[in-house]
Amino acid sequence: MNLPLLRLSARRAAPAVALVGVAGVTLLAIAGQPGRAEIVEVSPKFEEVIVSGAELASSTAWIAGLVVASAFTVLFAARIPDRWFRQEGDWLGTSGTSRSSIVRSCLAGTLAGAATLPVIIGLIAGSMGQARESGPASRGQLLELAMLAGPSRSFVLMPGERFEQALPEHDLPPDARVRVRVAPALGAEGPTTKALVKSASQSSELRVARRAWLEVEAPEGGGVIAVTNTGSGALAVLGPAPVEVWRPSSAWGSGHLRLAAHAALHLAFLAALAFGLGAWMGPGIAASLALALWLGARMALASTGLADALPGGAALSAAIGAIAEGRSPLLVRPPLALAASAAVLAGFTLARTSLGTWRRESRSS
Amino acid sequence: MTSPAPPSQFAVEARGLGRVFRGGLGWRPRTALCGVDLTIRGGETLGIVGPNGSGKSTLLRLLSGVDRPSTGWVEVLGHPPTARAVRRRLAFLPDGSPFPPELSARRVLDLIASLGGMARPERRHRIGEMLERVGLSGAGEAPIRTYSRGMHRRFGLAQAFLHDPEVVLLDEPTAGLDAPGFAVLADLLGAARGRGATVVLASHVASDLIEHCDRLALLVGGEVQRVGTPDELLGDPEVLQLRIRGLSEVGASTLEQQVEQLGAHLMESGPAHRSLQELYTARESDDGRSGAR
Repeated sequence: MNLPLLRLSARRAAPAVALVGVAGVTLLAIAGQPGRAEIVEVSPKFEEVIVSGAELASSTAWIAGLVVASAFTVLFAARIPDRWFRQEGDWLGTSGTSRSSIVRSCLAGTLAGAATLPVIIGLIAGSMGQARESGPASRGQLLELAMLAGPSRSFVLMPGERFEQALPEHDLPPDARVRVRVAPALGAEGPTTKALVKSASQSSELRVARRAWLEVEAPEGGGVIAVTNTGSGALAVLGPAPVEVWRPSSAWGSGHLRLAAHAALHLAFLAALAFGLGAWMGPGIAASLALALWLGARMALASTGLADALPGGAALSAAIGAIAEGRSPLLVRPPLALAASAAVLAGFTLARTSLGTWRRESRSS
Repeated sequence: MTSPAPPSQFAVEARGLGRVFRGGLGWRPRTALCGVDLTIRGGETLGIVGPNGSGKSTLLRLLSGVDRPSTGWVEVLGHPPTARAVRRRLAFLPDGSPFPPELSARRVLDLIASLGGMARPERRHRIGEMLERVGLSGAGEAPIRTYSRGMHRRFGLAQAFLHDPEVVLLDEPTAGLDAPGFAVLADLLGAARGRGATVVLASHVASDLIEHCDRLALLVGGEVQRVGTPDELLGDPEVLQLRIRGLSEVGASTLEQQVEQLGAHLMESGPAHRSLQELYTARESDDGRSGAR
């Protein structure tokens, strides 16, 4: 690995225009966030609504920043190998370093450059999380998902009906929470209803007028969570896996660091593909094809068990969703890292095999 | 039992070298080089001259291993030019300025030297020395994109001679060079020849190369038309050139008469022109004197 070449490629993969562009879009996306000073004087219930709005702005910033970062990443990554065939091969090709080493260094630099973009988004969007933790709206412990449970499909509870889900034995701290995803449904007297959610240690009754979570403390050591439709309308329990158990999290930066890791894997996946394709075709076509391949894979895998294993797929969506709720995303799981590594290997192989010569056949001068 | 092939007696050897570029959609293939045979002895300086589009740059790219021949083969120091052992002993100055424009000269030289396997302390020392030698020490920290054409060429020479290569391939080394730049080139070539390096120079201006070359190869339409010493290729045995210092007008007239008496014809006479380098040197010494006053 050649460090000066790696540094040059990193700089080219994330040039100033990309850094400023991503930062600008992220800042624009959070510009409408409600100010903290306004919510000090209002009731705690209203405050909760405002907090949700702020966290939503944080996740919107992530989405906007990542869309722009993805576009910049594929374009600039595809341009790096293209330069080899636009004369830079004249000095790279006569250097004493092997072609594999040159490709490795350039690809590593490209990945490093791409990884700086989610750091920027995380720093900007994460500052909102910090503000939430230190501000008057702090809701205490940061949570992360510990377990999913429940049936694989949705079903409806008519008035008086009850749903129970046994939670397997687990070792959760006392601050753990359990929640059930519900929504009002047609089929009974009223358009809205009430629901009683109960665990071994806590119960709570809420009016359900829209899609919502019914949340209580998790029963220690396992047990049963029960939801009873106590209103006059129908209540849908929304599957798949409508029951979620959340445990306290020690994630840094309100979970933004974990989301940055998910985003970095996503951008690494795109950058590696664009880099490999850019060694075979023009940068514009290579960038478009890399995005199309990722989107195609995402659509193809959406309804399969592999949806979580695609960088930038369901796991990234879930991570952004967690940030939107003021919770921490899960750590990156091995299948995701494995898929990103496979893309990096594919990018390397594509680029290396293109280097029979440092000239494109159609360029003769 | 077969004995191994004897090592090539040539530093550079090419046989039947050809390069055909595939055309794009609707374009016919283009032959850039056709059946080029070339041998260059170790320590020799060969000039390749020819008009624009004659295949000089393509030939140098094939010799440097940057491009692959369509036909024939090439060996540098007894191995294919793509061999790693050869690349560390070979330097190539491509035409134009293909170096990263966003980096400073010092950083690009550091990059190229590191790719060549030069250790960091040696790099630091050699880069400073080379920038000084090509007259770019004051502009070493400026991005290359801010350089003039002549500075680009000086930089190209610096990167080519940075690691004291055994084989040096220079494509249009004089393009854009001013008179002091020519002196830099002469200095570098002189040093390279002094340590026995083999040099190949390509230019469409033969007069730029004559003084440096042992032999010239004339390349036209992708084929080597003639190879020989500069005198063999460009000399005219019917014409004698004299440069005389200290001859008075009367003496010149007498000389002209005697030439006519010998049955020869004086084609041209008049005061000789100083070279631009001599002019610059004279100007600098004039400035130095007036400054001293």
